[in-house]
Amino acid sequence: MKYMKQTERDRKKEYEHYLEYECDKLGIPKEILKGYPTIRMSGNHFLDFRGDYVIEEYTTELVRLRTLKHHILIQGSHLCLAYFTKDEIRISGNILNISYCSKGDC
Amino acid sequence: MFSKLVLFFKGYLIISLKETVKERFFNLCKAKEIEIIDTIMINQSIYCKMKLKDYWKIRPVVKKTKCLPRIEKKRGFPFVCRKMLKRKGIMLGCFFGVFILWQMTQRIWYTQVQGGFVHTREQILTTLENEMKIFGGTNKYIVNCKDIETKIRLIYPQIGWVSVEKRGCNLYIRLNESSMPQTETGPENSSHIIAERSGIVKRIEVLSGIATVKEGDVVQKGDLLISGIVPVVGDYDELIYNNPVGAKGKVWIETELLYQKTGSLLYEKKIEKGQKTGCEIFWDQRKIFSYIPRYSGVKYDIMEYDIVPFCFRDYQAPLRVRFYELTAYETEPKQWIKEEAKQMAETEFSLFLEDLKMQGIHVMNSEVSVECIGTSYRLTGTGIICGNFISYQEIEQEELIKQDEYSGNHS
Repeated sequence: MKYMKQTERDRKKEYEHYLEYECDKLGIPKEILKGYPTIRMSGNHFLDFRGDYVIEEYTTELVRLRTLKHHILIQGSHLCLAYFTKDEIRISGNILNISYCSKGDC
Repeated sequence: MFSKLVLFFKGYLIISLKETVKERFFNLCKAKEIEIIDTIMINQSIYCKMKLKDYWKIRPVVKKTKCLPRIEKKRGFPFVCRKMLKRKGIMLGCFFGVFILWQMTQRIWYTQVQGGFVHTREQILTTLENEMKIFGGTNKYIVNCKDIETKIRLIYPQIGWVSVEKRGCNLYIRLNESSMPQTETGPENSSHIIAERSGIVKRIEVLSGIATVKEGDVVQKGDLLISGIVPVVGDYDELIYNNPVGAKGKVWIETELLYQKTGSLLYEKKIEKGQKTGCEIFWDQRKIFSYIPRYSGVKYDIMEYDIVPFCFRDYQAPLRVRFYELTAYETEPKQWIKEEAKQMAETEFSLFLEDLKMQGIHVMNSEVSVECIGTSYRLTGTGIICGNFISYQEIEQEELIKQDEYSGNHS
């Protein structure tokens, strides 16, 4: 079992190294191939989030999203969900704070 | 903006949700690929927009969350259409409006003519209307630019180049005239100016040559008025040579007018027997209705006139109505009496004098008399007229050889 877990870990590491190598070769950001979620902001009024997520909490002052590894907290006032789809969500309003926290902490 | 238009066209609903289950509802919709737009929270209630077609997919989501979203408002084209179906007048009106607009865009409304100096825009437009049946309101597809170019070049040989272009609802015609208008000139060769009529010279203007008469002189027909021979004289007044030129100028001569005309006093008087009217209706030069009555065994006159509704100066509606008036008549031989003949003669003479005035001839005194002999009449008109009565005579070689007393000194 231990041996199998170790090989899995090695395989994952090897895979990550391989992805980084391919990203460097092709000249594309690593986040795309590795599947990291991306946040894009326009001023402090619009926030575009791309990636796998689940809406945990929504109020006009707080929006909490859960991804594979983290929780993302978006705090502000008059927050609205402009639209959301399977991979994308746009939050509009007066955004004051964006914070990450690990799953256990939030 | 475009996405909002598309959303409106497809139709959407504004729904409200319970606060307690909103996150689960959103996540389930996300998983089922149901799009939710513009989610806001107002007074502990969630309002959001959902597409009409997606609303039919939320049954499993509603079952899981046990929350049926409440429809607050319905927006979009499908709902507008449903309302409009109840008001058929508005629908018909919109349809006809769109149809009329579409019809209007299929026609030529304005014609621009550029480059014409001798040939004016009105002349070209009249030619297009009379010869080619093209005017404001003509169907675009009937207008063939190459045919128009060929016909304009045939009708006006002075136009060297013409280009016709259709752009939208406008027709652009560009002309290039090969010959510009020339100023009035006399004969090209050297010539004298002689009197065309006998009379008294009232005024003389010389542009080229030497005047041989002055104001007040009495001249006969054929007398020399302006000589085309200009003697070139030296320093000591000796004649060097005679230079022939084309004499140019104007000489106003006052002379008598004599106008005579004979005619018949008999005429046929038309007596009307009846009248019928008919009409034809045209749409885009195609006849769609025709009713023209006829008379049989009787003579009749036909008078036709068109009625075309005009909106602008260059616009003619495709609808044209032509009316016919048929007047049946019988003829009866009659003879003018003396008073009528005199009145007719005076009218005829006055028209003749109007013609003279149009030619620039000034009429001072005029009298008219009528003499009736049997079934014919003789009209005699007299008066005094003043005009530029000149004609040209070529200079002969013998006139140029004429010498003075000093000419023998030169070899």
